Amino acid sequence: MPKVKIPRKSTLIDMTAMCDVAFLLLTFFMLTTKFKTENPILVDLPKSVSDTLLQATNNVQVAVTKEGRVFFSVDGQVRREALANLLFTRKYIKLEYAATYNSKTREIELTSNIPDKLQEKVVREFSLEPNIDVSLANLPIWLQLTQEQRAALKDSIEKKNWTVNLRYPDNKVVKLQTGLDTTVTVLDGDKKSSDLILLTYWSRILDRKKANETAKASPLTANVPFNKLVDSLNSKIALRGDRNVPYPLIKNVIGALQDADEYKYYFITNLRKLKK
Amino acid sequence: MAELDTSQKGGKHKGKGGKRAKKMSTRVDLTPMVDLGFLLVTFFMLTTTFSKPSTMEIKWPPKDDKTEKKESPAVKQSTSFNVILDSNSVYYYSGMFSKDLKVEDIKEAEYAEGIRNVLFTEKKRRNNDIFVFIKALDAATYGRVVDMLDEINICEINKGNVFLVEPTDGEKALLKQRNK
Repeated sequence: MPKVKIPRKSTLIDMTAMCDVAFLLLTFFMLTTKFKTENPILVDLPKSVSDTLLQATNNVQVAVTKEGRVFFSVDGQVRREALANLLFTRKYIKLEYAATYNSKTREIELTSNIPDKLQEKVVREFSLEPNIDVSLANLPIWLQLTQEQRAALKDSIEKKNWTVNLRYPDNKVVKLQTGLDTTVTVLDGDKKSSDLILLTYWSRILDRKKANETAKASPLTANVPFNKLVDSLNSKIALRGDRNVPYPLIKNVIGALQDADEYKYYFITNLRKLKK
Repeated sequence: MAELDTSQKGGKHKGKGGKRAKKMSTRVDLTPMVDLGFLLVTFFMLTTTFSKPSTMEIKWPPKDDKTEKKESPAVKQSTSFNVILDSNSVYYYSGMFSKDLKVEDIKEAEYAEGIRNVLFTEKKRRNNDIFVFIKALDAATYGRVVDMLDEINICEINKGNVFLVEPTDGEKALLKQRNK
């Protein structure tokens, strides 16, 4: 009996098709991706049946943690940079000290000799950092630390109850706190001002500026009313409140938003399903 | 042997046409490329966020310090319905607050289903013509307020007929009496 010879087949496969698919998927994900932002602000969201989704970009987010700390964040690096520049030119934040962190004493040491181009550096850091973690007064100091230092410090302050001090040139020591400064000052003419009011108000001004620029730049928009144009760029104000926050605290936050002439909010909630 | 030599090595078959250009195989090994492709796909798949958070849209009235002290907008006595939020339960009564309101008029319900059923019946009783005043006590949490607004949504009460206002001193006093 002759031996049956099984023909040896090549183990090589044609990979072209697989390669095609892989790259197709790759392009899709690359184009649709929006990176998960590092969102270290832990918030236990309330639940609701409402399933309206928040638009993906251009939002302004106000987070309120269980302890009542308020954080603010603006979507988009370009918008953040514009906001930082606005706040600097309007002198709402001032660069008064150069800062270095001393890890042994857990102090941020401040000096009044400010090196060249420090403001540009701070503006750049502002644009790269999604959340505003400290009060506006301390922000220029805070942003001089490296990103890793900030993340580590914020974590230690909130979770390990560290005290981190700011040591001013005259040896005055002030404790650094995370979250915006919520004290409201009344300016002349009954206008109120606080960190949150300022930030909300000026990020809305950005929309108006942008609308102005588009109106000037393209003749197509000539017939569109200005308000509509602003609306189309409108950044939505999303509130990420912890569900265990006492309501009066949220009321204060909303009060601040009202003072900044904002009346429409989006409460971020987790979806809950109704049992039928 | 019985194998066909397809390789272009060796110049054995030089022949008629003189020098022939070497025929190189056009096949490329795609394995590394596919590897890389899938690696990147996985990376993007893991880092991407598809889920946008779900939200509840709320409109708040402009703050007007002068009118704030006045009672809420003029609504008919028969259509208004008051809900007072506490930390673990909801108090409610029909009509506007007046001096004649007694402790017995204020009733209590549980959150979620309890208040939902109350809202449903009240809405039916008034033929959908209902104005709801939500008053959150200081003890109520933000989550409770959202829960309440959510129940309003579930009961399909027109959002324009819902007002978040401050509880009045009279109401607080009545509740104190009630919980004695």
